[in-house]
Amino acid sequence: ERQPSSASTAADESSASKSAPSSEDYGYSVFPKRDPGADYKAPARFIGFRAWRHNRCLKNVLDCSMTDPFIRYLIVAIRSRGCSFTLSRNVSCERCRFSFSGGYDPMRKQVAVCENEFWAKPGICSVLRHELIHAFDDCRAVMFKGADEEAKEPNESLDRLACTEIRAASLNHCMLGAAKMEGYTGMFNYAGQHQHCVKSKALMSVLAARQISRPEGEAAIERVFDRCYADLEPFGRIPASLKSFRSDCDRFIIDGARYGYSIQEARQRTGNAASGSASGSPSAS
Amino acid sequence: VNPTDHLATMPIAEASTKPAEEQQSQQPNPKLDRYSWLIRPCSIYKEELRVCRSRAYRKHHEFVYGAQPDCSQWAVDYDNCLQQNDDRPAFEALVLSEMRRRHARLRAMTGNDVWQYRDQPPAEWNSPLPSGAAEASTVDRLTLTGADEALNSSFEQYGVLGPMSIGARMSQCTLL
Repeated sequence: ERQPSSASTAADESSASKSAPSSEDYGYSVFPKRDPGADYKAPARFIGFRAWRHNRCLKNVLDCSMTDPFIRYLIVAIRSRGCSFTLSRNVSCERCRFSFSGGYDPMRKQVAVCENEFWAKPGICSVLRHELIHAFDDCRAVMFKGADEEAKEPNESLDRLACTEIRAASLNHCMLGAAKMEGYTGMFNYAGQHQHCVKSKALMSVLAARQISRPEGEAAIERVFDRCYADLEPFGRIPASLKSFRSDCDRFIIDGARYGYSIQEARQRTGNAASGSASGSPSAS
Repeated sequence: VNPTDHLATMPIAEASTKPAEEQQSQQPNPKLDRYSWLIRPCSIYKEELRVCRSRAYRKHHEFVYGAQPDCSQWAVDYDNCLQQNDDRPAFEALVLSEMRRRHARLRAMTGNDVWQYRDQPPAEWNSPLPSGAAEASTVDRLTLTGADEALNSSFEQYGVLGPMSIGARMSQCTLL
């Protein structure tokens, strides 16, 4: 029997093609494997292009977790908050409907990486960074309370979603070069345009995750923008580049150790994962 | 918008950014000794100053805040850091500056009242997946069990940064 879809996810759009289901399902129609009552079953494939694509997605998830400083620092931050984050339990590569890049499932506490559109490493790293911000916000604050309570106070739940999306857009996307290339700013007239880019990207994500109209989404983003744009945890700064060695040479990792995001803290808070050596940060004070 | 840059300027009554010579008339404040851990290695202040003055950061700062970055606070902090052992007012000014920065960052976090922060991590974080999903994701979990040990051992062995890739690390980072 079909259970009432009782979960919320932040499904992130990569392109604009999407059809709107009739009732509010919090974006779960994008991820057919996640709806317990759906007829769609994702068959396990062992040969063929889809198997290769799935394996490549998994390999790139592991590669990104091993090499990307932002992703590693976010994993350490989530673990430092007491939520044990492991790739086998908390990340899942799956095929999605429409052209989404990924989403975060707060019901199962999983990052869902779509292997439809992107399975190469830069795309996977970008998606993983984005969804890890959602996971981090879910770990440290109450993001989703359940379909019944969410239905009672729709504005608050929309505000929380908008807040997460604003933070994810400002910390992971909307860097100057990317904003120029994607048309969010002009070539030379870029002063103060970061907010415009963040609002546009957050609006796209919010509209993809909820069945609301565009003015409602814009109003929600405007309501929460000031507070959420200033909240830069766990980085403490807006990264200037996707490559950390171009912007600040991983100093956010050194600074983050003073705010409780470190491997020692993760080892204390979670029993299993992230046991690290004391030489985690290059210059320990 | 009240963005919180790492160049935080929140005035505190007893703090000032004057050079150390002008503060010699004031009495030393013993309460600041407890907070000496806030002071970072001096190379970090130098690096922040260098990055703040770089062209790329200037463009990024203009893009985000619409104004030129103000690097004077990092310069003052670097000077004070070099003189902190000889000069008590320099040490105090540096501690107060770090307190200001920390206060700004924590204020940005707690000022976000859109959601309620949790006291404990969510209880369902580690709960086993529902049975319907378990059948579909059998292949996933079979493939990823090796990834867990790899990730954890990489944290254990290399720290947060992970195994260094030569091309990425050797371009601009003076603090390795």
